[in-house]
Amino acid sequence: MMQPEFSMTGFVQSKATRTLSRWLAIVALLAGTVGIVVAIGWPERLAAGYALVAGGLALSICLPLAGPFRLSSPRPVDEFDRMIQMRAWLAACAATCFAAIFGMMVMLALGMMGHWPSMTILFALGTLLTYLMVVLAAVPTLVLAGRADVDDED
Amino acid sequence: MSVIHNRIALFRAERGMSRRELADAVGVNPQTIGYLERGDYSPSLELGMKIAQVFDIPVELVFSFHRFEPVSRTMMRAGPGE
Repeated sequence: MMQPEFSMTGFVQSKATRTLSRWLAIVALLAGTVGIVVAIGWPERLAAGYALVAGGLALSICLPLAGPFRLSSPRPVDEFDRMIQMRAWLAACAATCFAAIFGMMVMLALGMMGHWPSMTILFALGTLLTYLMVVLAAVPTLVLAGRADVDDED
Repeated sequence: MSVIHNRIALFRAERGMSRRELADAVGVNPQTIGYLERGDYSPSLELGMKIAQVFDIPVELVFSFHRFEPVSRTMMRAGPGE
C-alpha cells in the first residue's frame, strides 16, 4: 500500500484533517483559557484551573503529531510550505507574547489588590507558563487549519 | 507589496502540461502551482526562473508587475493568419 505523501499544502487541502485539527486546537485553547481565567480570577480554585490548563497542554502537544508540523515527511516541503509554516509560527509567537504580557499585568494587578501570598503568585505564574505553552503549541495548527479551501482542478 | 502577475496557466495549457507535471519539473507540490496560478503566492526568484526554464521562455514573459494583456486582444492585434 502506498504511503500518502505529506506536505503542508496537502494538509491544508485535506478537509477532514483540517476540521479535526481545527477543533482539537480550539478545544485545547478553550480549556487552557478557561483554566487560566479560573486560576487567576479565583486563587482558591487554582488547582482546578491548573488541571484545565494541563489538559489543554496535553491535547495541544499531541496536535503536531498528526497535524501540520509532524516530522515524518517522505518528501521535503517546498517553498510555499515553508512560507505558511513560518506565518503560522509568527502568529503563534505574537499570540504567546500578547498572552504573556496581558496575563502578567492582570496577575500583578489582582495579586496586589488581593494581597496574594507568595505561594499563590508562584502557582499562578506556573499556570500562566503552562498556558503559554498551550498557546504556542495550538495556534500554528489553528492558523493552518483555518486556511481557505483549495480547488485542485487542472 | 507589489503584486506579481503570471501566465503560468496559459503556458501550461499551451504545452498540454498538468499541474503535477509542472510541479514535478520544478520540484514543488502541485497545490503550490495552483496557488501561483491564482496569484495567491508570489514565487521565489529560483522558482520563477525554473518555471520559465521549463517553458523555455524568458522569465519576463511568464511573470510581470503589470497585468498581462488578454490573449484575445493580442490575437486581434496580430490579425488573421498569425
